[in-house]
Amino acid sequence: MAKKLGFLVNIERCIGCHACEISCKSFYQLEPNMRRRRVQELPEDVVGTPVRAFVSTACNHCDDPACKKACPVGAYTKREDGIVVHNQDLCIGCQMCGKACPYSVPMFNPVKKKMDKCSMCYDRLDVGQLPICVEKCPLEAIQIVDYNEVQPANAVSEIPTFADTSITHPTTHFILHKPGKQSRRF
Amino acid sequence: MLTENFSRRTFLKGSASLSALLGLGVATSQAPKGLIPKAQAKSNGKVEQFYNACPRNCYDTCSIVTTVEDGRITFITGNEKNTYTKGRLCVKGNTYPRVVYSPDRIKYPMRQKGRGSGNWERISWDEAYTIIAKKILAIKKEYGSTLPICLNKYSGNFNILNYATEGMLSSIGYTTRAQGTPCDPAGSDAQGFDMGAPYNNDPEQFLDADYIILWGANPAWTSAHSMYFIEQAKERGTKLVVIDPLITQTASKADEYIQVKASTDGALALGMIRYILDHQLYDKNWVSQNSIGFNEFFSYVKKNITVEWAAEKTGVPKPVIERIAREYATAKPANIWIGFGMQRHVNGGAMVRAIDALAAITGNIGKKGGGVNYIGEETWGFNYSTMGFGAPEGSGGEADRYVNMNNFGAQVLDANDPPIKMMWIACRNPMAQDPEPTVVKKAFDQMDLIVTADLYMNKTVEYSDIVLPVTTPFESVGVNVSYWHYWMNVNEQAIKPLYETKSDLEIAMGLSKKLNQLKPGSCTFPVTGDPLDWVEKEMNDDIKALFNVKSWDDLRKNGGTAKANESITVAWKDLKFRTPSGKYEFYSKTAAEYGHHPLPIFTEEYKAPKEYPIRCMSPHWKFGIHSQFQHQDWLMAIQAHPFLEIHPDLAKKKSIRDQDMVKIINETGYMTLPAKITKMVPADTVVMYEGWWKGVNYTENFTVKALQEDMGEHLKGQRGIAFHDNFVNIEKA
Amino acid sequence: MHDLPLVIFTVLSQLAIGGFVTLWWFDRKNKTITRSTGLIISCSLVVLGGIAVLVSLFHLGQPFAAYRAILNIKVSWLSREVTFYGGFVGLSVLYTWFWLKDMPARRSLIGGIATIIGAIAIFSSAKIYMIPAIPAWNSVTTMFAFFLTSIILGPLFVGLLLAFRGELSVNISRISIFSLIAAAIVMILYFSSLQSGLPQAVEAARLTTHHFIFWIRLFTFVIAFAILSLSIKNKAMCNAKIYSFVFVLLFISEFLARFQFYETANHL
Repeated sequence: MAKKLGFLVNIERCIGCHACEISCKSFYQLEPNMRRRRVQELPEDVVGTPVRAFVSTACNHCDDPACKKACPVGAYTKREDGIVVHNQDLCIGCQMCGKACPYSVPMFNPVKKKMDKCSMCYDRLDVGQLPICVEKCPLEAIQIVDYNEVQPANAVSEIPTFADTSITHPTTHFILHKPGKQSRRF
Repeated sequence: MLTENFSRRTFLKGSASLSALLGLGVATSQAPKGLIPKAQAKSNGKVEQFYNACPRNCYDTCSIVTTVEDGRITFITGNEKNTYTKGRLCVKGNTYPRVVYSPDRIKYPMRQKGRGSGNWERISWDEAYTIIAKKILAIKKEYGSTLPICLNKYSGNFNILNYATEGMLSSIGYTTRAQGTPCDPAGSDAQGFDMGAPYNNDPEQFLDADYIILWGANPAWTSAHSMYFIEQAKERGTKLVVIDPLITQTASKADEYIQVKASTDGALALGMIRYILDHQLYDKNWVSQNSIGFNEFFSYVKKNITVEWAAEKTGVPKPVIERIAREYATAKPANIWIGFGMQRHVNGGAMVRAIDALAAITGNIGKKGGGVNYIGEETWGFNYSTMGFGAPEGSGGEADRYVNMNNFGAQVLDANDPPIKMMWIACRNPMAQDPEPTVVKKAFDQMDLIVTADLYMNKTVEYSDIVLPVTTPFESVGVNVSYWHYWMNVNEQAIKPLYETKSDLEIAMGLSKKLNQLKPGSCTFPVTGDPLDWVEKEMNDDIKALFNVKSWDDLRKNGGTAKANESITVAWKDLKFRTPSGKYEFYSKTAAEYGHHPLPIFTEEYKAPKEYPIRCMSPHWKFGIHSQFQHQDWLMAIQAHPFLEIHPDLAKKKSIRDQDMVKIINETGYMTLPAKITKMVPADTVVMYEGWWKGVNYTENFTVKALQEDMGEHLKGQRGIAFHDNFVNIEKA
Repeated sequence: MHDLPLVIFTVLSQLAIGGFVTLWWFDRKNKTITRSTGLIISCSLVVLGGIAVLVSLFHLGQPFAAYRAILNIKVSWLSREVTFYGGFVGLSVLYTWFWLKDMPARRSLIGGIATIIGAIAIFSSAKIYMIPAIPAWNSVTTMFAFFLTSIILGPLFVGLLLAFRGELSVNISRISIFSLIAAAIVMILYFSSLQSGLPQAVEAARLTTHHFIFWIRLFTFVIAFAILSLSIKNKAMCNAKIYSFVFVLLFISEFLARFQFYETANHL
């Protein structure tokens, strides 16, 4: 059976430090504003008690990728293992993929004048290495899971701020933050 | 063109194109085209890897692996051989390639015509050395000594070889020194009185703790690698309690968060102690065998402290204090980590003593996985051979003169006989980091010559006469240890220094050469030397034995990182304290000698003045260490400007909405910045994170007064600054 | 501002297609248009259509690779738009050729095919934007709006050129007023669907109506509507000057409407 690889992001562990995002930028030597992975702040009452909560997302390697349908040159392919790959050689920089993606994942690279997005480091995966963000997260909060093999306990596919998953069926799943006890003065 | 409606979009686009422009010269030339697999791209050139050490003023002091392709750094990451770094870096460490190849680096020596004018002209190193050396010699001639020359150097780079700057200044004669530290002094003195020295357990032992209290510490932002061990412990069932006035990122991960009123942590600890004593939960054997003054302390607590009082004082409900006290006292071992922020108050030292006492009465000191952990310096036993050359013959004066680093501006202005006329600044950014920056500026105005060695055009460089471009860790050699973990990390030279940059050691040798040319014998610092020899000279038999390495070169060849042997990784394991009595001193005569109460008593917090009722805290920020890192464009792309955190209740009272511009003001200064409305801060407090944002002409210290902490003279020479006893008012701008 | 090339492209291409269909229809029905007038109108439409293509290239990061945009015609509406619009421009050149050669039968046939292809191009163009990721766009009103631009601007453009040439034999005011009424209804539909839609759509409505551009757009629309209403019964007003003025007003109105359509496109 074919694989269905996707990110599993553990919000419980995530400290919102952006090391995933910056290690990716460093490894791929991206331009300063290019963000293949993005860490976003969640509403602070997301788990009931007020906390600083963040979620890190990259390309969601959707089952039904909108980018692939929007692209006029066919630069997007979905591999057997589920990874959505963007072929920059074909890209003409029309930016329709960025518009069509509910998660605004593909970004226009103002220097190369082409679109750019996370590849789940497929070239690293192909030689048995982990994606950079997975390997470099100081809290080990990001994993790659074959969702055809396992459905991790507590994993959910929808969280606040994450766009309606019925549009493109993203493979990314999340483990939510468990609220602790608080004794606050205000 | 389009106002309100589209301003945000336009702003984003504007910043995108700006960064693209900045990126042109540097990152793009090496950027892979398309998705060429990395391995394939690498096979074209010569690929080498080097070990580096992150030398910043940080708990984590990481061991780094640097990948260099054809003489250019292509990736920087953590060293997997270091079980604390674990092959990963924090967000700041991950920006290191940009730190090196930043378009903002200072590339060659420059002279400024008119301080603050921005009118810089490029000069050669020889010209720079000549100007500086002539000034030094002229001062010596005019004043009969080099005391009018003041060094302000601290923690921008803790590579052991960077002490060459201190060494160079000592080699020209007696000088004036900025003494002390804004970091840890009150807490260190407190632990010095209690135990003889601050000494912490190996942070990897969080895994051995049954109970963890992070007391005013925010490792999620300031020590990500420790946070990993804490999170692991938590997942294994260790209870994590965070006591903090703010709901920090770490507090957000706690099993239990306790919001304490700022600067009343001592009352909380004493309240817990009262409960523990009342319920016979303390370790009678431990205190009778290992401490002195317990009975005096016991009676002080019985007489002066009640849990009700502590609840009233701290804002923590009585049942919570009682429960936490019971849990802490009965967990074995229980671990406390006291953050530096907690002691940046006028009663900081007293609070640390109270928390120490809590750990001591429960017998948690000297236990693996336990301890009252604050800071440690057990692994810093290098030779410091760059510092030992002494003043030249005929130096005027008798010894160095000290001014308090924590009240630098005022004390420089006060110094007479002789006055201070020249400043050498290295590894430090006083214009951004010191309290009362206007006073610091006045002190600068009094100088004939200000020389700053730095990487970037920061606030201090902008107000200097000469800037000397320095190397990043990747362009020079060195060795580093941590004040927290127990590893020693080698720093190899990974690439040739970019532009005309030099290390502080090379600058010391270069200036010495010029001084000796102009006036032979005027500087004792060696004029030549291979940095590899210099770094090898730092190693002595004790440190080699401690880390089980033969030499620096041996360590370089064998993984670049080594851990100290287990004999020292459990603090006070032998229960032989370094106090005069050799025991834990609840009653400290040394404390009394420094004018403090001998017991860990409660000391009142600083009271807010009427006109300025709001506390403004300036804790560390996740994208920066002091004024480093945040200004890099990689991080500016995530957070482009400072902001002020305000509780919704306070915001409502002041009619401030999210993102409104807010003016924050007190008698020291004011600034205007956007508001972030958040429940993460209490309603009587606002928070502005520490940092230097590029293009922002103010820092968090604009309203900070040089208010002293209660302790610091004993171990650090000077008291610290009560950064968090900063009171302000705010209004909608 | 970023999508300005697309604003210009969509408005101009829709104007060209609408004008083309009008010319073809009048020519077929009345056969009163002289060869030189037909040639002038046809040429100007080809020029407008060509400018639209050129401007659209400025939107691309790689304009010289634009030819590749037809590769994914099987799934991508953008590919289809490019293909069909390209086809339309080609056919309109051929159509102009048949004006030059004065061959009415071929003109009629090619014009008919180009009309269908042009309509498919506008349909594809609208489909590109009807995507869930941008709630303000993801509605059938996008389709209506794109076709209405064509119907508002095309006949008026051809009408004013015919008036200049003194060959106007149809009441353009009547056609245009109906398209304006339809546009007004669609506008109401558009805003009410935004108001009842996802937060991003609500925000788009707020951004649109809270900007002065919206009021310019509405003002020009209303003035044009008023003048056209007066001119229906008043033959003396059906002259080239009035139609030019109305056309300019409506062109500004449509252009600004499209500009706001892009600028307020809040992503999910």
